Amino acid sequence: MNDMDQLVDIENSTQSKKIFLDQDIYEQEQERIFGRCWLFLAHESLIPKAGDFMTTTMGEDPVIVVRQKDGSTKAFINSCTHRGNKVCSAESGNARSFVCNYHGWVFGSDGSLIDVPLNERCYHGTIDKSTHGLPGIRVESYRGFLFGCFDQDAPPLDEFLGDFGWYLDTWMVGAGGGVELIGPAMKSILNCNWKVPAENFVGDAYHVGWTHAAALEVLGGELAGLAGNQADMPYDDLGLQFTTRFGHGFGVIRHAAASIHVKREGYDKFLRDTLPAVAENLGQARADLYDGHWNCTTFPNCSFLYGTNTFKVWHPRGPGQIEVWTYTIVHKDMDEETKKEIVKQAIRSFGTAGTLESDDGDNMTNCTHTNQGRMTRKGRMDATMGIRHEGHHPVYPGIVGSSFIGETSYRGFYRFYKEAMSAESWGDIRAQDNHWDEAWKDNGFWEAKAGKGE
Amino acid sequence: MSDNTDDKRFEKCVDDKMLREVEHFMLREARLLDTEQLKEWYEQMVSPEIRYVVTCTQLRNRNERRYTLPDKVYIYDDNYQQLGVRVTQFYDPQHWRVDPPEQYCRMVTNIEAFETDNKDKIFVRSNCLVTRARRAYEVDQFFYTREDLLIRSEQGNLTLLNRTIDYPERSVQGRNMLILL
Ligand code: FES
Ligand SMILES: [Fe+2]
Repeated sequence: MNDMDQLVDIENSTQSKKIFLDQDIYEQEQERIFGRCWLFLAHESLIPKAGDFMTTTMGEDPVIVVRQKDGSTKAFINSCTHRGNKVCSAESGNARSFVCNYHGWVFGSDGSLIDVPLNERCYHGTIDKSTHGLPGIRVESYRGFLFGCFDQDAPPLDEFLGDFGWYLDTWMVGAGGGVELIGPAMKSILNCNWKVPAENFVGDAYHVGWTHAAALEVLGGELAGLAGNQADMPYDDLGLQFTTRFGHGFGVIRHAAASIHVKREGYDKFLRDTLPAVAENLGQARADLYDGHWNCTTFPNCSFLYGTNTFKVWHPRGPGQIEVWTYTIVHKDMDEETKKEIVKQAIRSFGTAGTLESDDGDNMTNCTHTNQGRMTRKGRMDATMGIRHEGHHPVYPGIVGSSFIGETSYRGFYRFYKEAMSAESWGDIRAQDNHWDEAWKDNGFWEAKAGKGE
Repeated sequence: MSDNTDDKRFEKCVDDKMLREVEHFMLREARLLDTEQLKEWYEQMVSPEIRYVVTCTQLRNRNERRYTLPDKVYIYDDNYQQLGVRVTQFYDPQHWRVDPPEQYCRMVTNIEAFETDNKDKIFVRSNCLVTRARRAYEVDQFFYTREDLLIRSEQGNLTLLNRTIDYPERSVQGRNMLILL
């Protein structure tokens, strides 16, 4: 077992560099994080009809996700119970059954084994089909986003999302129409540890002005002010950062939803037109975040930018590599023209050939692979920005940081990372439900601020 | 992908003189892009009416009929303005990714050129291999078939009006595809 106290120091908000490139840590993550948490599988809009399926991975485990006749969704491991071959090689489709290429075993769309060639003549009836179905995985949906979980003891999905779900409703429910994902996903391989992009999306607005300086300058618009960190900006008024019980977190830049989009009349209009209904449905607190730009990670590996509308899954492929899957988020109620334009704009910024995406890749690769060096790996990484400028907020749940540029949600991400990596079971984790926020010893920032009458 | 029979676009080859002009166009384009003369490429070789599209195709079974969501994944879907953004970004002094510079080598082969219904437009098919070397150890390779429509501009030179690439590698190994293909 890895020494988690050494790897993640919560009080001082530092982490060992080892967490990005170490096989043992990676194995433990697969067991205790990817084996335990709810992992994003698909959006219901991608498998609308009975028999529609998609293949994906949970950690490194291949899975098939299938819409059932009764409208529910099932998922199972995409590995034949005979000799282990992959049962389905297509990425999507509609199937009544899945036939293994190797010896022809046939599995139903519910994963059960329904036919075995030469069963009577060569197995002589010894195969019990009822015990040879593809192993099933828990599946639950949150606002149409389907997640899977290997751990029977994990809390239900909506509890796992917790306060983060409350925030997500801001746009996943919004004015009532909900959102969907536009696929198929773009896919690319990036040589980095899965946590580097996960932490980047959960709370790194700091890098935006520097890493993306060229892209922002070229795009123009509001965010060009961030380029090169040149402008004198009132950072504390521009946004907030949030973290929640199970490590999910995000940062918001106020009123900046569509700021990466060059052509955005349709999107702006949609946000303006729907804002009153959002306030009515969900209250002013969330309406205030509705037209903001959000950078988010659902712990562990599902990240998205609401506003830019790129939706990413960082599938781990060993400690030093990931496969990036990229979808686009659109509101279901938008007109087709607006949806199309949003997809275009999202692809141009954060697609495989996106002008911003490619800036990030280099940092992510290098943050990972410099740790090949033995001495380098002994070093530590710092995530202290905004420490003590955060705490319980009078309106917003979770822990709230005072600026969108800060590392509050890094601290939340690694707090839960350490907890999950240390715990023997979900029982251990749940026992901490009322104490998790004690990691913020000094959590009275907002109270003090209110006290000062600011 | 359609069935494998040639369609009408491949009916009539251009004459040798025209083919030479097309080849020269393709090779000059490769040279300008390899040698960081993106601005020259953009201003001299690209039509302001350009549509520049790179897609790849989701893997589905050949006999798939019932699943009807689109199978095309757009990686580029650019017009002249958007291509211009990419070119400007390349030269920006804060564009850290290409500093130290990357090295490129483009190979363009199997060039075929065909007449179209419009005498000013030529349909060109070619196969390409691009290598991008960067950061001492990284060599990315991109290989693909291009289908281009060239148009003769008012100045008399050929310009790129349409580029369509159905990129064969489903999961792009080369970390990003921010490179003009
Ligand atoms: S491995 Fe699947 S049928 Fe034998
Ligand atoms: Fe970034």
